[in-house]
Amino acid sequence: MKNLENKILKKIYFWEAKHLTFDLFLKFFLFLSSFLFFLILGEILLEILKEQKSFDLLNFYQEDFEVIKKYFFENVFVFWLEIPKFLLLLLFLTLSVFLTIILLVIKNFKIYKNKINNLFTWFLKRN
Amino acid sequence: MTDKEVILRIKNGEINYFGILIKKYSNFVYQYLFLRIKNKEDCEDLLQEIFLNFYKNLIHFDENKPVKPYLFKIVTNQLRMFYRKRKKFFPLNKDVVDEESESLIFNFFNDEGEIFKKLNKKEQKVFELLKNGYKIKEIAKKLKIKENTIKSLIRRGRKKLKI
Repeated sequence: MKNLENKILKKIYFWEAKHLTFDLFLKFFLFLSSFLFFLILGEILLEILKEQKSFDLLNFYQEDFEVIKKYFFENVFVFWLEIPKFLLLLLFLTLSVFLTIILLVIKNFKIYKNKINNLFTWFLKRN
Repeated sequence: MTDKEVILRIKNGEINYFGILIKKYSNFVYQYLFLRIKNKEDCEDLLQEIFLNFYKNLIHFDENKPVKPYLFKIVTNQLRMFYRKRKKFFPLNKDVVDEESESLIFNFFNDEGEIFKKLNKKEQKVFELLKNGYKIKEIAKKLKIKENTIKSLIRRGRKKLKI
């Protein structure tokens, strides 16, 4: 029976090792790709805005408070019209994926740590 | 240590605590399996599968509930799958009855006698044609019946003949 119990534990450890590696790799891949996408999309968006000279609209904030107050919404609306919306949506999506992965890893950090510790001690014991 | 504490620790990533559950329940599950299957190797294989499934589903398991009924549910499901796998069946090709089952049917016809009488007239006709080497398509054409009906007749006939 003892032998059988060890066999079951061995099967479980192997399954967990496979599962954990896949999970961590997937998260790492998503983390890296979303970060890269975020950088690339951000760069493209900035370039487009620079080309359109949309940032000139920001000079408006150097005016008097009364002028800012009067034309604030109009200015924001013009900026909104000029911005490429689809690109902005993509940027937010990649950012949300990136943040979700970070949050998930932080939330499950203790579990991952314990699992890796357990797996290492078991594999070292076996050898 | 109670089951609840053990499960909480496993959920927290301390896999080594699963050994406690294995030690506690493996004997009971093994005896139950052995009573049903009466084969040591099959019992051991099933036991491993059962505990692996238990571990995989432990995340969804409510630690406030008792372990035994949950484990027992996994055991019955695994047993059902085991019996299903072990069940004898002869595959029927889409268009043609394969050689193996054809020869089985042929042997039945060669035995003749009482077994053949279990079939109704339609089934007898279909099996007779099968014996003569006709394919399902040809039988359907000859008897002016749909192919699917022929297949169902064969299936029903095989059930009756237990082949």
